[in-house]
Amino acid sequence: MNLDQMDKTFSQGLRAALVEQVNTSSPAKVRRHRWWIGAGAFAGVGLVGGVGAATAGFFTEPGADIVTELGAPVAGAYTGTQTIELGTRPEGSTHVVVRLTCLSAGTIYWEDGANMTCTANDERSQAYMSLPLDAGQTTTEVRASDPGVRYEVKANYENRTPTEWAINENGDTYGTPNDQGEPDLIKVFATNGKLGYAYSKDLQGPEINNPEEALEYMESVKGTTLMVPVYESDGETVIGEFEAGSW
Amino acid sequence: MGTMNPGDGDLWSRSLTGDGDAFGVLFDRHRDRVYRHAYRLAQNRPDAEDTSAAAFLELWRQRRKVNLVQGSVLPWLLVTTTNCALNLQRATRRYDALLKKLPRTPDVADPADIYLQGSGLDAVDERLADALRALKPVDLQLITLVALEGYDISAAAAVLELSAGTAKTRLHRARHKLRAELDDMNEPRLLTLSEERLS
Repeated sequence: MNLDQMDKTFSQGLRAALVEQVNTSSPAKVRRHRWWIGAGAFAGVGLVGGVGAATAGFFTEPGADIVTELGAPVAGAYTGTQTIELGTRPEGSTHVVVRLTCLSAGTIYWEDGANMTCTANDERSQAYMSLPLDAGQTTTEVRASDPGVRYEVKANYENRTPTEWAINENGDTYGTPNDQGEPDLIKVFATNGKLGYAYSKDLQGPEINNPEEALEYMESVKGTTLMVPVYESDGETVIGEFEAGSW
Repeated sequence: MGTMNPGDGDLWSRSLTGDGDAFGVLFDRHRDRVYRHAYRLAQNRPDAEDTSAAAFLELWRQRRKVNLVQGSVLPWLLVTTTNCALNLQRATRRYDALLKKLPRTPDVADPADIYLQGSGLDAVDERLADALRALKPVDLQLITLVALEGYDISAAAAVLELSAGTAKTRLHRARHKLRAELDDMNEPRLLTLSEERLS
């Protein structure tokens, strides 16, 4: 027994658990413009699969798109707001996946308004979004908060074929969010490492109509953590809890 | 030797986009250093395993707060390993179900036997472990990073969010305290983490 090293069996089990946990997470730092609970703090992180995350290997989850990359990626470094040429559009392309990497501090926006904010410490932070293409579209715009903001773009056409959510005995849909919206039960990673489902209604905050209300809301929840139950797909058997927000 | 030690930046960026294999490589890269440090503090295999696992799980859970120091996640991991070891129960409760599911090699030897089989390296030096655990948490972090793991003071200060001056002063005092602790053979032995849990 080598005391200086982690036991091989344990190490292999731990490694597999870590790899799975990362594979089933949404990309960090991406903010959808939709108001989730805790939208300002984390939005969507920890929800499994979903728009923009399906390429992380979650093809089998009900409601997830089946994703196929088409053609060769285009890549380059840019400064300020730019229109990126995507090249010839392969037949069957429905989306373009746009990966952005920060090269300086600032906020960069995908075409749909989703954005990533980087500080000087976050250099090389990376996130990606899959954006639906209009008929004949062969460019995508990346906006920057400041003309001096630098970033890298890697973009690839892809085909996304939607799948249907599954329905449990109570008639509730379950699976992963997609372009159609959210199922009643959304796939999440519980804090105990188990995969399960949280009710969509548990994850939504109050309706917020303007920045003042948003500030008021953020103030009212400051210092709190909201845990919601995680169920089996039946929506009844509790198997853990999900950190819906921490402020 | 840039090509031999390319840093963690690229693997870390890829991990943040949901690339589990990249995170797996980071685990492979730092597993032994983390485990050795966990063992140094915990002094028995099961606690060292739980502590190491919690540190890597925290690395992912806290990914938006992780600072790379000199292009590496290791300093952050070592600091987190220390925190997890100091408060093993609280640190691992979050991952209890997962930790119970991880496979273990059966018939783990009694900690006393493990110590007797020890090679005399610092990884299995119980007296050092006791002395380390008697330090204030910040001082323990500094000693770990600088004296035991060979980082310079500025790297340690960066990951601990201390000024370089404060780090230097604290480290100086911590070294003195550690020496005094190790000189005093009659000091009663502190409980190991697992003994604390049982008491």
